[in-house]
Amino acid sequence: MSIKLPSPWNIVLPLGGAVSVLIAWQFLLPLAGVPSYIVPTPSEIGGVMTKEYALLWRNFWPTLHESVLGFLFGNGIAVILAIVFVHNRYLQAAYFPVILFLNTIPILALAPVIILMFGLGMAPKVVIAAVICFFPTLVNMIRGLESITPNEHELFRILSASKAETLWRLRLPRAAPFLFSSLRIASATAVIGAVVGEWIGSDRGLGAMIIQATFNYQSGRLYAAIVLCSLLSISIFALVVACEKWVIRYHD
Amino acid sequence: MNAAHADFAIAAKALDVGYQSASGALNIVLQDFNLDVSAGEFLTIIGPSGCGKSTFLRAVADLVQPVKGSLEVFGSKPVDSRLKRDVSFVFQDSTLLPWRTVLENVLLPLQIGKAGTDGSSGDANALLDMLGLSNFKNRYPGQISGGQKQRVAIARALISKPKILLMDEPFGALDEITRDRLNDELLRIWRDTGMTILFVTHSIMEAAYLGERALILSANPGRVRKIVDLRSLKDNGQTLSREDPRLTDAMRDMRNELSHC
Repeated sequence: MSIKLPSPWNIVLPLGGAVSVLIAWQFLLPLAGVPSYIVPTPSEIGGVMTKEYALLWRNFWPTLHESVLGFLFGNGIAVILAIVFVHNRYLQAAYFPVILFLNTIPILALAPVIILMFGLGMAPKVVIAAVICFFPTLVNMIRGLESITPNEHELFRILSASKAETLWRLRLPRAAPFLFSSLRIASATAVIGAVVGEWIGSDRGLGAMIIQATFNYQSGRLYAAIVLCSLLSISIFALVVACEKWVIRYHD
Repeated sequence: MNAAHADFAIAAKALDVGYQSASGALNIVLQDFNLDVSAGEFLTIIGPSGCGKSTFLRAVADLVQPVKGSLEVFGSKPVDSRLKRDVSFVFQDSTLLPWRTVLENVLLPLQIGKAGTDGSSGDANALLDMLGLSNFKNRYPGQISGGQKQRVAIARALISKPKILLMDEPFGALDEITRDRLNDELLRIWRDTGMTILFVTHSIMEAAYLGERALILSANPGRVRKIVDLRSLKDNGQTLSREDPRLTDAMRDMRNELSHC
């Protein structure tokens, strides 16, 4: 069990921690002689973000679209497949090992294949983001759907519940906390997938921007793109947490 | 209650019940089990662990299939009474769904299948009222005590108006004061509804205090060792005092019998 701090400290301490790191970055790094083309200071990054606002915004949208679509497709397909597997042991025994094997292929190795298959548009980035979300959610969702207790199972049998009723009234609510813990992780990995896809074949998006800025030594622009990637992940994460709070209103 | 002329709620003849173990071997838990339970009877079941107390309840509830012999619930197979919702089960852990409020938990049986359509949220509120839970109906199970959870489990079992209530050590995890209080409430519910109750317990006190008859089982394999008739102590329909010397005598006999199981 984690011990809760008294309430004002819950806000003050994380904020103070972040501010102290930013201050150290702003003043100590130049003092230590790190040149700004390698690590620009926070104020320089902020300057780029205001000055190149339009360019950054233009590249933010494709990445946002790709990550969110990938997130929805990857997790959606994982949930449906988990439901199928839990109801059909034979299918699970036949195909889960195949999926397990596919999951061992590094996403960076798989990305060029997906781009070959889907071309250079948005589709391959969505697919890469979906693939990267898919596996953890599949595994978590299967575990969640199977986490019903023997007594719960017997209760539903005594009530002569159909499979659909057991799924809807028992398995899915039981699986919800498992699902949301993998959705939290997927909120970051979906963005990673989209950015990786843009690295390999795109002239738009934050991933493409990161590559171009790196080759052109535009470190301010590079760091600004990184900040936007992180903001995107945080926004999806916050949405997931808000949904979780709305869906799971009880405490064990 | 005149047992000799009443219809049997449950009739087991030369019944064997067992489970298939992981290695495929059949593990017989109940062997050559004979028992008749009259409609409206309160039967308590007590015995050492492994004697098949719970297994018998599970067979009546159609959760486990007999290997041999016959088991009838109201003259037909257990599956028929399950499909008709004639049987309800109360588990030792309340088995409430944590994502449903107290009221929603009680309503669960009405939301499943066609059998549940007779019954309303009015019935649920009346049951919660009767069990002293009105002020808690919008709480989640995580927010109420163990005794309250078990009351909710009883309300959920009663909502479908069952003819038989199967209770598997329902108060085993509760403190003694709560347990005594729930015992008295259960007796009141039993008298009001005329249900048949099968009540498995580890407590000799509960077995003697609640039951019209107490069934003592021996273990490995589970067999009927003795049926203690307690009706003569309770024939006036009044609740017996827990200190009644006749009850104490009956408990002494039961303890003696159990020590030889």
